[in-house]
Amino acid sequence: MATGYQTLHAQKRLKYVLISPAFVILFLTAVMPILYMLYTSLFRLDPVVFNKKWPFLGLNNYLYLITKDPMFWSSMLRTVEFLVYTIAPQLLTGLFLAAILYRDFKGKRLVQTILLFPILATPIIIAMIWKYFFDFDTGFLNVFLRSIHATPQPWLSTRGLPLFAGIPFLGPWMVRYLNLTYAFRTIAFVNFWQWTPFCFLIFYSGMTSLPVQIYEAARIDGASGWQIFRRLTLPLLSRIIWAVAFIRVIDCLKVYAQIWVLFGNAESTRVINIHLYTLGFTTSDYGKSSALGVIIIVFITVIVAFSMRLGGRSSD
Amino acid sequence: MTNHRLIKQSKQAVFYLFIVVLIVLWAFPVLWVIVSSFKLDRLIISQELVFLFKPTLEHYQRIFTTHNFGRFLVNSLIVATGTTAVVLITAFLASYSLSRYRTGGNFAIVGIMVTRIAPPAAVLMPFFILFKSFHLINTLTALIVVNISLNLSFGLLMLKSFIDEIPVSIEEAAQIEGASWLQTLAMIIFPLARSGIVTTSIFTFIFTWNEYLFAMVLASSNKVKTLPVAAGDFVTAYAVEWGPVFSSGTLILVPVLVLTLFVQRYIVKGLTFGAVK
Repeated sequence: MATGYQTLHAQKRLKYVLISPAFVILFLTAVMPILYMLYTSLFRLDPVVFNKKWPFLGLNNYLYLITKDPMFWSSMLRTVEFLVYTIAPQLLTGLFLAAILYRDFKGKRLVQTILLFPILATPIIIAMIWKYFFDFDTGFLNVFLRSIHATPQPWLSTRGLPLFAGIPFLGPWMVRYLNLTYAFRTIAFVNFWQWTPFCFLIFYSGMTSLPVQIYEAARIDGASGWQIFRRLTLPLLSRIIWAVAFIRVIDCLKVYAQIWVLFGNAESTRVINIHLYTLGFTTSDYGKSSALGVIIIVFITVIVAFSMRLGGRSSD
Repeated sequence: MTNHRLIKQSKQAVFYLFIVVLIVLWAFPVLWVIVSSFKLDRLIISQELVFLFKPTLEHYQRIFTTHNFGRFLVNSLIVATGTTAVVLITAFLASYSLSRYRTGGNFAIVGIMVTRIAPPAAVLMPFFILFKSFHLINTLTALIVVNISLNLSFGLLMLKSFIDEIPVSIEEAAQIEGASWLQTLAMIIFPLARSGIVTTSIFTFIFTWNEYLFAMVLASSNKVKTLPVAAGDFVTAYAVEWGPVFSSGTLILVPVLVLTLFVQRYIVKGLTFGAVK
């Protein structure tokens, strides 16, 4: 016993030795780039001046984005819209699927396995698959619609959705500012397709770990399926629901490849990440792009802090 | 009585109809595209849905002969394997320290989690500018460095959760027998954490294999291009070549689908930072 303790004690330095490679890498590749970006955001930096002395601009890159760049504010708005339109449907459908598929039935394993695949599937390939399915001329959906003599739909167009565009007076405004277009619905759908199974999986595994006795007691007392779900499952799952919502917020703020493959940097689907890429590599303005990177980090921190507070309060 | 049975049966029917809809929605699109990768161009763009056809390897031949996908496949494998190796070794050592000695306490754990929150796109510029200054653009090294950065904190948290489950008493027994820390780590912890190591490796490999944004910006030349970037090249603003899109998509997707089966038990753990058990 004593030797064991002594060996451990003598190896007190060991814990720092073991941890240092990983922490040095994390510092160099996760912390330092952000600090460096703070620095580069203060300069004029583009291919012309790259190998010369960079002209110092102070906060002008930030000022430009906030006051002169119309795409900055619209891409912020697109990002928020994307969060709102994607996350709620995913969470609700995920919960619904978990509740429906909870019981035993023939083919349950097959369904679960199928729902597993989208979670780790390559996002850019998933986007390509849907780009094909939604293609106007030769895509699967429209070919199918034509074969049953239905009207093909402009799934990938930036036109307003007829359901909303048809509303008198308010319609055009809603399409324009709430971005209720075919294109935006499509990127929301692709995200929905890939991530609803993830929500389902987490909720399902959360449900299987809930105590069985409570359910039996409730059933003996004559509670209906809906009552059990509403009064027992939902409250017991609330911590998990908030955790999943939080993870989905973070992941949706990372979205890039799917939108890029479907619509490039088209304005109506240009979320903040796409705008950063456009500034940096279409306009080749590395300074402004850096400034936008810093703003994104701040923006994320605010959203994350906000959702943590919201989550903390509701699950009390 | 019969009425009762009828209701029950129709409920059952609705349920199974729902299951069929689920399967069609989530399995059919991927299957259709994989099957279509063996169709001739004229069948792919046909105005009829073709279910039965004579399979052709035309689109696979094309991506491997005229588009050098052999090279891109090797590049993807090098980047994913290199990243996985570095992440695994450094994360294994560090997570042992985090798990057993609680090095850095909660501060370290929260710090690691925070590095996973920022969107990769936000740090695109500093990596690009730094690599450009060091003339590392269009090298596989640059891609490996970035992917290590994107995956190391995941690896740390994942492996820590597995090492946490190994009882300390086993190690203490080994140390009483006179085993050094290196022996303990290599002969006791490593084998006991086997499933954690395999799982972390597969996840890191898949995440790196799937990575698109940095690969597109940092390695777009034909020598160092990875598979997702090469597949993305078939989609331009003017036209899409569906045949090669389908075949390269299948080539990228199938290994991921197979690997997913190996980690299915750990997906919940892996994708929630252990926030959900």
